[in-house]
Amino acid sequence: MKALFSILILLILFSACEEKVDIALPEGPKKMVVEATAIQYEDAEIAQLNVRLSKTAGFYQENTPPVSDAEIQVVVNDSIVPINPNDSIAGVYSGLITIQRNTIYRLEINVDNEFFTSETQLASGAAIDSVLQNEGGGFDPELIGVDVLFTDAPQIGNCYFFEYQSTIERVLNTICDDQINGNQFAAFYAEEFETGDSLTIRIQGIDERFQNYFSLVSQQSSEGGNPFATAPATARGNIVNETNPDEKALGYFRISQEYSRIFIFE
Amino acid sequence: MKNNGVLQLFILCFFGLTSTITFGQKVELAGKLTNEDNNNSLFGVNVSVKNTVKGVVTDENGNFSISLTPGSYTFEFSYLGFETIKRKIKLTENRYLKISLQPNQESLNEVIIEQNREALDLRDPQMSTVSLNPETIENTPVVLGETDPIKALQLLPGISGNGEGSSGFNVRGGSGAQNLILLDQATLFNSSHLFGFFSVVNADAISGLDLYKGGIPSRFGGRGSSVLDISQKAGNKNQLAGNGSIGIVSSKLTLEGPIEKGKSSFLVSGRSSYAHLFLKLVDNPNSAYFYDLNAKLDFDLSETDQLYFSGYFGRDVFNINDSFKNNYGNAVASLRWEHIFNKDITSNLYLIFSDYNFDLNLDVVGFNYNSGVRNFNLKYHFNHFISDDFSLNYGLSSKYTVTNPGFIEPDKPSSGITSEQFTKKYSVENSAYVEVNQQLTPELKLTYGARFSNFLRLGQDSLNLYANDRPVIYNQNLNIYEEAPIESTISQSRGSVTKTFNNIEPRISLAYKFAKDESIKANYQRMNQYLQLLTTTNSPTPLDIWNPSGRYIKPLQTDQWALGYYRKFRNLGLDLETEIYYKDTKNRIDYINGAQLIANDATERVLLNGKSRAYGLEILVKKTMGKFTGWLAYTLSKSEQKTPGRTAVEPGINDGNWYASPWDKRHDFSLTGNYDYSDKWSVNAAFVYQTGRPANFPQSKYTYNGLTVPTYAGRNQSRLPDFHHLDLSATYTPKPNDKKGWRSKWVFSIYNVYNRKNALTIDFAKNEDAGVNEATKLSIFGIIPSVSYKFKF
Repeated sequence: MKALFSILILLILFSACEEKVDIALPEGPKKMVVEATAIQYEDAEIAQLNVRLSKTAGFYQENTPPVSDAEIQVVVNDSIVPINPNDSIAGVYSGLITIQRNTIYRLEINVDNEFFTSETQLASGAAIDSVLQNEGGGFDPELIGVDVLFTDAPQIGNCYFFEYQSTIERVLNTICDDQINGNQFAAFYAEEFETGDSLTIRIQGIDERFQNYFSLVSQQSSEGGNPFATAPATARGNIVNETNPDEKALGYFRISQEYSRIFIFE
Repeated sequence: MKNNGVLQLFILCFFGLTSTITFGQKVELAGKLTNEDNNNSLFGVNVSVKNTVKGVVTDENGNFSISLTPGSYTFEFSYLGFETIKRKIKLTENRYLKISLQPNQESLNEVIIEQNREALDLRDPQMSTVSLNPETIENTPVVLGETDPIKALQLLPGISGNGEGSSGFNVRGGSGAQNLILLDQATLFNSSHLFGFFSVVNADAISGLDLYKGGIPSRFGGRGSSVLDISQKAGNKNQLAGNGSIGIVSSKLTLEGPIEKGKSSFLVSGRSSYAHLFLKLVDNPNSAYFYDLNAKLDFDLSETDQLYFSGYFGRDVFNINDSFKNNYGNAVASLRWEHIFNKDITSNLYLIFSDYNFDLNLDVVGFNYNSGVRNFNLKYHFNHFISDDFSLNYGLSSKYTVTNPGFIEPDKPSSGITSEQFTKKYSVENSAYVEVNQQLTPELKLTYGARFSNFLRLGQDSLNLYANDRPVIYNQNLNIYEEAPIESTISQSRGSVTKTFNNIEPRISLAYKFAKDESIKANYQRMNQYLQLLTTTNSPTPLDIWNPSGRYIKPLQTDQWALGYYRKFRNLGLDLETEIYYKDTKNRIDYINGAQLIANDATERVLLNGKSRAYGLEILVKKTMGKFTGWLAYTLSKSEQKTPGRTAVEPGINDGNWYASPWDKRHDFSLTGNYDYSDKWSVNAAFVYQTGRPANFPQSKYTYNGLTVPTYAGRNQSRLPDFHHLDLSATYTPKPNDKKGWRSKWVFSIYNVYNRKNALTIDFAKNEDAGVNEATKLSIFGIIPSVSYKFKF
């Protein structure tokens, strides 16, 4: 809801002028970035945890330097699951974890004499009830879209992460259950689709803290001006640097349950 | 009667200070000066007594009062643009008379008639004030040919805006939410239309405005930085008249006339934009427009009583494909009863209603949303004249405010939205004030007084309670501020008082005229603001919510000192005004990183308390006479904020260090000129140059889920490029000698003549097409020419 409001303010805007400018940006000290995500596909018993380690780089630099040679493991109850480096891609590590509800998973990373940890739990998703084609709804009557119907779980505090992937683009969205708790709700997405185009829709469960984190990340990374923007500040995730607490680590560790659907436009 | 204080040079005695209160044998002549044409009171008429050096000037209601020893005198009433009247009066006892002046047939330019409001008054301790009359407002070129009082104000020192497309204005480093905007004493909560392109003030419907940047009189209170006191124009009591303008983007029409000839009048003014109609012509289903309506009724009930009704209704409307329907604006009304008790005491009783409403329908998500604020205010103000050297004003005010932070409901049966009413908040603000105007010596005048304010926060349906009374907690593990969990909620009766704040606000000003054409002035004021506007953006948006002080929000308090030097250069026709000020603010709200205020029923969980300070030098050089008039304004200032952590482990914002306020501009320069080339043609120019606003540029970046995410250090550490533009306009009056009937003129204007693309924001993101990260500047206006046709009948 809250994210939707900010997106909509952007849309109100008049047509303004955009121009590329040259602004020198002195790079700040390098920080560790941990992107650790495990997706449980519907009711699967195991999930693959993918961890991508990198460092921050100068803003205009094209690539992001990966971090290899890290030792990563996941501790759940009393068992330890090693997360092993990928043979071909530097900086990527993966391992299989068993999915248990209401259990704390602890991620531990040892690299360059620094010790990072993070804790999270499985966030349940919501099954997709149906996907209906919606023509002319939304802000632009020329676009073709979909209404993705899902039912929110009755507890308070459920949030969802949406991914819409097509040949046109990939769009990411989040929503929490503030005004829709326990109800069936329709998420809307439209683009210049034509008959026969396919759209992959994913709904993943997330917690409120991740929703806050991702809202900021999404706002700060998007193109296009927003004069109503809040003063940007580095989005803080849930990774803790145990060795040097002042050297904050960036990124997020989450485990989400996902429901997905592939929709073909008529 | 309130003595407005421009006394002629009065050399009375060689013994130093004179006594300020005279007793015994004096008698008084008091009265009211009006314009014979429309029966409106005249502000600033010179009342002098022949063969003496006595003289006074009428106040904003046209009233004056002068005391003399009994005898026969010739009184002269003079006012630029009007025929002077001489009256021989034998004064043996107190007398009251009403005099009307006839406008001068050879009056050169309407500017001069109204000039009196803006004249530099070396003796008046009232400093740090900007007064504008409608003619000056009309002569400043602005975007799209629309005359705009608030844009005109921004050309003066100490006042600036936040760039094109931003609403509101900043006074002496204060936020846009710290300005009290009054229309005939009713509060306007939102000051602009269409995101700042136009203000809500229709220049044709107002008789003038005063902006107090400092030295705010005791009768005003409730905001930290300034008071913008706008007066609506009363209608012509003698005959029907009207005026209007037709422009590219909007048009307006004003009609005025008598209800009962000579005794009562009406004035109605309407304005609307219609650019969206062009969209309809090309089958575009979107629209964005605004409209407003001003009305004023004026009744002379008797010799001693006058009744005024003043109203305003305005709305902004947006519609995007019927999927997004937005409608918001102000509705205010005030009733004033002016009663003259006797020659010494005048009272004004006000009954005021003020409302701001925001409505949104978002069909694509399936809800209706509504929020707003409303207040009811009763005010009783007295002007009490005691002697030429001593007068007071005092009064009482009581204001009841209700804020609705939000109401949401499904807009159709299939919607997944659940209805919810965010907790409405209730409060009462009472105040009592007194202000003394005392002429200590012929050169030294003092204005002093205080405002006592009492704020009562009333109970509400649901109040959140937190552990340790802390709605915001610091998560040391993750180094972030977070919303504390709500421990419990309680319900309180709306009639109960849950929190009380009492404050005394001293206000002192003095003026010392140490030479014929020079004076120095100083002032000190304390202001309390009990209603805060919660906004995380740099300037207020229509969605922002007003929140009363209470358990979790303390009242904002500012202390301001100012010192000024003023000089008239009579041979050059120039006025010089210079001032330095220092403003200290306590309990200024700031927000945790990533705070989301929209649709948040527990905003106390994202607020942090901080302070701010601002200081600066303002220079204004005005030329008010002759064919070429105008002014040069320069402000050198700094405005910064500090939000420290509440304990040793908390970082606060920007690590607890001072950081620039979002509107901090080191240099602000403007040059405005008007040249009367001939009877038919006049040209105007305005040039503005300002230091760029603070911005947050990234340091580094990383990728997360395929997105390029910037990282930042500190807050407001960078700057946007400097902001400047030059605007020109020319006015053509085809028949300048017409004084009656249909009169018209054309205004041709060009905004931003050299097409400078001023940055509104600079964004740093990955360019998806090119695959590289880049900085993109967003700007709104390039060069914009426009034409408008103005008429009068």
